[in-house]
Amino acid sequence: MAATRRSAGNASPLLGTKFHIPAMRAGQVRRSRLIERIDRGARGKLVLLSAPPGFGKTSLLAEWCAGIPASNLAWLSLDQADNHAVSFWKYVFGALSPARPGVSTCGAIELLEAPQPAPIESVLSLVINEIAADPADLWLVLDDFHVIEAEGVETGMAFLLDHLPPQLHVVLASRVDPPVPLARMRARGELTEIRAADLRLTTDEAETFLNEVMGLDLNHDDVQRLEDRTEGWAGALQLAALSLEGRDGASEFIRAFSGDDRYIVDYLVEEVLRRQPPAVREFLLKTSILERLSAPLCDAVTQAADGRRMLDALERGNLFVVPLDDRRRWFRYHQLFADVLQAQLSEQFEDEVATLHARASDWYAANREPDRAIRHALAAKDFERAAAVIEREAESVQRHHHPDRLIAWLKPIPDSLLRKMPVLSTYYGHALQGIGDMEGSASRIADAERILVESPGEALVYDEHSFAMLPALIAVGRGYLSMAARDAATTATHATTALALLAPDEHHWRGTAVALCGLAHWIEGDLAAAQQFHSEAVACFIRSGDTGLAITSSYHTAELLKARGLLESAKRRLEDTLDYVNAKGGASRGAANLLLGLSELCCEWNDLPGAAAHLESADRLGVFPPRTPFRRLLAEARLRQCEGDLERAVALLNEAEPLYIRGAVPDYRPLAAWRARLWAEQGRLAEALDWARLRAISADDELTYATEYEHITLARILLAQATPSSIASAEHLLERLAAAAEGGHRDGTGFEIGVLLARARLAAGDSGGALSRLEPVLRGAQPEGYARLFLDEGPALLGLIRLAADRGITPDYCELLLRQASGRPVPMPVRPRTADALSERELDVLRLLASELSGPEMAAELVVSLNTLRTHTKNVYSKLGVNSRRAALRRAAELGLL
Amino acid sequence: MERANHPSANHYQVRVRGHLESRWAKQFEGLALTLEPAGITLIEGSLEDQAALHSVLRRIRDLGLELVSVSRGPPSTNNAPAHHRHPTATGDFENDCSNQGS
Repeated sequence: MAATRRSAGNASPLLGTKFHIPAMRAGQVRRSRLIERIDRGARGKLVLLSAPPGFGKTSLLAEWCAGIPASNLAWLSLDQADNHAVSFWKYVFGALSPARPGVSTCGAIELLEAPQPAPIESVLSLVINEIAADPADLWLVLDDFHVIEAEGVETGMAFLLDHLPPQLHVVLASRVDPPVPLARMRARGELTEIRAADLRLTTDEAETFLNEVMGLDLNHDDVQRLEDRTEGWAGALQLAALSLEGRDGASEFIRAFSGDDRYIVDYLVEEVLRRQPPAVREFLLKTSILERLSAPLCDAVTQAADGRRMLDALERGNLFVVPLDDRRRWFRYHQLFADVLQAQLSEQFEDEVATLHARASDWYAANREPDRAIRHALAAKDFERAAAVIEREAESVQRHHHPDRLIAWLKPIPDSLLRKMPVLSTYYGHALQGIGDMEGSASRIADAERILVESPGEALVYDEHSFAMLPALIAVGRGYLSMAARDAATTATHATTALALLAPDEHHWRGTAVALCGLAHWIEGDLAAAQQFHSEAVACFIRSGDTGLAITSSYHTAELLKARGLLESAKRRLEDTLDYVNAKGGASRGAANLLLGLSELCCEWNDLPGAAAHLESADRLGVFPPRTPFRRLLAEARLRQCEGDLERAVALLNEAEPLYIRGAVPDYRPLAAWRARLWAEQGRLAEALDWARLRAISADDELTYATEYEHITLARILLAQATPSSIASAEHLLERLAAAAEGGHRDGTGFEIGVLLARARLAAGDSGGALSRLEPVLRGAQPEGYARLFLDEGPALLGLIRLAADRGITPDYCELLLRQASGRPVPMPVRPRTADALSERELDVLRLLASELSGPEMAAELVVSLNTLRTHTKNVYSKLGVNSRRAALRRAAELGLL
Repeated sequence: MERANHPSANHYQVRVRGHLESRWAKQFEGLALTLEPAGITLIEGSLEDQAALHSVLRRIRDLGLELVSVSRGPPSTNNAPAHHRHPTATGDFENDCSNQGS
């Protein structure tokens, strides 16, 4: 059986031992009447075993499971570490996956792990559907359910039980009645309960166990006395049996035991311990602090080398050591036994307890299990040790985008200690940004700065690598805080500082700082600079292996290229990134965004079937929160708009509206404004004007990049009103917008404004003036193949295009546009490549062509497939007007490209 | 421990069946164990809040001890047999005594 189980999603793999169905123990008493009850109940919704520890719940379940084929069972042993909604459900899904592989691939895990988590009902609905798809019975067995107290679980369990498909049955074992609607289920006959009273051994069963199974030779009175004293408590009877093995004078012992008032387990464990050789006794006591035991771990804690031998002996002697897997690598003590041992330990080895925990913590830290390392450190109240482990894991947790994990770890650590730890404070600050707590973040970052400035000698540092970068990390943290406050200048300052401080090979952090520069320029409207920074960020993230961040930065780069009027480059950027993602293999949650970007480009080129195909591809890849579902709806809205179905487009925007999540990136296409445009086109002018009024957008406003789209929207509404004064207003506004767009080099936006100005002139009856507005747009848009830019603007504009063609202004282009408008099928507009520059990718290929590498080697170097390489190479040849590698290199040299 | 001086702290008395040795006091941090007749152990002391109380109750559950009663009220007097009283190492016992005096 695999030691770990893969989990879709990006966190640590799941521990295989938790799925291991316990085997029946040698010498276990068979409880056939109880098995029959479970069999009957297992046909219904829920079987519940609710009884204190040591009553034999797990043993009974083990006995029952032995009679069920493994393919119908999903077993999960819960422990403290799972007491968190996300962990719990991930493990449940992990347990269900072998029998229902669809559970891992249906997207439920991604939804669960998203930074803005979906309601548990949505997540579970996906899983329930997967389970229902297969008619075979499936039993989900959850052992030790009492450790779960997290809120998200109770709601989820209630939902699951309410919507249980008939083939799924749940079995819970717990020390308390679980927070599940038991009364209701009892009333409906959906529940089978096995409680303490049911689990107590009867005198007959006790006799069978003691005499037949354990081979003791007790008379009936003695058995009765034991049964009375223990009240049939199986765990206690087992301990009693162990105390009696090979003992003379069993009756005396039993009489003394019966007459004693002591807590039974304590009494009996002490007896059992007394009969062990000192080495074994010491081993038991010292390892009792461990939740799970393995030979190497025990050796680390006891500082001896006999762990393997000890564990084997304990298992043979039935000393409450339970194997957790088939290979006898991991064990645990029965909880009751461990508790009593720990009490003894605290008495006999009081001074050593903290040391034992420290050794366990160190072992777990060295074996990359930070959760357990931290727990042991905290058990010894060794906060500094715990903080050290956390600090060493912090960068990794940060890069895997699990801020809540770091924050949960840090909760028990006293502030007084944190304030001496600049690295940990800084990562804490970053993590708090991840959950939206900007104030907390600023405070922690300030703490870090204070230590560095005021008392660097007192700083406690465990991650030297991060400490060396700390001023840069702090600058990045401060940069994101400024970004949240939309302060572009300060953001840029911090980002530049960070870049100056970071080493050239710190690709992840450089990428983050560069992306921050990009954002700072973006909110100011300097899109050319923004695009270059984001493009550079992509390169950094590819080098650091942060695929998700590379995708995000690529998507932003493409959006910026579009706004600059560089559609071809945008397309290449998106395609290159998709190639990279595909070559890397493995699922990438954000990849669908790239296809949505391509879909919108196809819309602009009026390639509507292409746009639809990209949407389908996006769906196949998977559309995951937090932002992609929103974008998916918008991409479809655009397609419907191009198809002329404005009603549907508006409906999609309405659907998308509640999904919007504000982020660091400026909202350059506010949904409400887009919808107002659609209303204006539909003639719903009153509603469109309402939007403008609510947003307080007027034609006299000072113009900023942040409100550019909205002001252009207003201009459209004014044009739609079609009164002389509204048209005049629109024109005046558009002139000002044109100047602003030109100043910011926002050529794509400039085209749109130009077209609208042409429409305004037309509306004023001035076709000559309109044509002079349109001409530069036609010339500028032609190389990029813009289509909807014109086709979306109504029949009057088409008439103007006819006029332009007649006047010899880009006649071929105009003909193509008119044919597209008439709906007659035409091949995709050929975008003439007049002295087209090579793209970044193509330049990369050209450089490799100059080397001695073969095709496959070049493809490997670029991290693309051979086919992709061939496509790039063909493009390079065609642009250079050549047919061979040698000729290409010669021409490139002539052009000074190399 | 600061707990005894916390303004919202209350004094609780929890009784379980089965006598607990003094070493168990560590598992019930800051609380005193008193052995009473009929095999009852009295676990008592000042607990900060309800959460702390539930923590104690959970411990009892996990030990499989039978919970007999929980009550809230002033500290029990010193009439209990002196040789059965198990003060904790943390000295809360002393605090309890001094609280009575003030």
